[in-house]
Amino acid sequence: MIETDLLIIGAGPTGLFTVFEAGLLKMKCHLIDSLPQPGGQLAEIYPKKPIYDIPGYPVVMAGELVEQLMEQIKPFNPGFTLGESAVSIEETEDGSFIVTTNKGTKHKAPSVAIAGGLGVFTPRKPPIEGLTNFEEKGVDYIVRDPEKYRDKRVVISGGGDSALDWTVFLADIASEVSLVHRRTSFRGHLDTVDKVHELALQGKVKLITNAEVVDVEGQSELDSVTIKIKGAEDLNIECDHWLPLFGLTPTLGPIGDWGLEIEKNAIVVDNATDYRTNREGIYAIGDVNTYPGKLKLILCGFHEATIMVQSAFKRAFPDKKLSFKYTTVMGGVGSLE
Amino acid sequence: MDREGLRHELIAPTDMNMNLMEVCKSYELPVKGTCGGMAMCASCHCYVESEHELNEPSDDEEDMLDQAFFVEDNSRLGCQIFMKPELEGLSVRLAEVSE
Repeated sequence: MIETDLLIIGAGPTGLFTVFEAGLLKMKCHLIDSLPQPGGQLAEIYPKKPIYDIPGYPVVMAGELVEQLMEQIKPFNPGFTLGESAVSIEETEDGSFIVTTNKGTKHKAPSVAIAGGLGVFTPRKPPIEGLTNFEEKGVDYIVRDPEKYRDKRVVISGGGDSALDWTVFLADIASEVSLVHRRTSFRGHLDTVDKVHELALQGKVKLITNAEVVDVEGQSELDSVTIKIKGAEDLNIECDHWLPLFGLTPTLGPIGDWGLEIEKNAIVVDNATDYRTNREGIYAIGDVNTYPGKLKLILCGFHEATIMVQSAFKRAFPDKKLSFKYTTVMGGVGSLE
Repeated sequence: MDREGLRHELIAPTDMNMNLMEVCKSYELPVKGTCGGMAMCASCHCYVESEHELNEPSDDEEDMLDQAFFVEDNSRLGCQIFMKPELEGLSVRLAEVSE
């Protein structure tokens, strides 16, 4: 069991800066994030995009902001549980919380700050009726063990890196690989795109472009997929597996079932006090929360984190007195390490 | 037109640098606009059903449409359609979104 003073769910910019503000109050923090690296959306979706509204930075690349935040919180030595998503929460007798991840890692803290942003990044699922019936029965959104596809007939959908990489990789393993893409051009790395075209010429991969899988068929297991091709008859391909690889999209996920008041996919908080939710000891900060006048901005998340940790301090150290000091007066954070 | 086939008439300002996704959201239509208009989520995928001439889709938009579903020749991301007077009468239909 990992024990800490403040458990932060979500290692995006708001979650990371929370470590800093909590650190100033000598609180230890631990972060959980479903992605394998810290930074949230900034690292996963738009690391190379510029941000113009971080005070003091006329412009900063999203990825660079994450690096700087990591540098800023380094003295406080936060713990990380990465690549795991927070699934359940239980309250202990002493009023603390135990949060368990999808991999069973347990974390205990007197307060929990949900800085979950848009939520957990999960594979984008095609809106095909009955598709869920075939999940794990032929339809996989993520390739976990390529050996599973040895000598099987595999259809892959998508035009990005992950679809192309797996097409190349599985060409040597599966008995048949078909790649279905809505356009004729691909947006992956050039050499991978070339490799796919080469494999297609060699007959190792069947390339079906200007096309889209629109239906799945089978009794209990997947038997075939129907492919709609622009300007041609629908094509039915018999296959053992279909891998729709359309990237990741965030959803609120299990946190939506934690007994918190939810409005339009966001957690309702009290912005007049300390961004508390309807459950005492659980706070929500950053893009994941909502209140009258809410703006989903990084800088608002920073502010919310700063206010929130003052309350979390009182829960972590009920007997200690909170004395507020400017970082300038402290002479930097070195004295706190 | 929304996903249930209901038609909504929207009046959009042309002097606020708004895009179609934002206009739809301001009318509380079921358009998420998850990424905030960076052409990075496809939750504002729609079909343009009138003959208006639109700005060509950027590479970013095309790439994102690759990750959307039921993409047609008239598919666009609402966040990349910017409101201007020439678009008076523009007719679009919201595309199905995945959950």
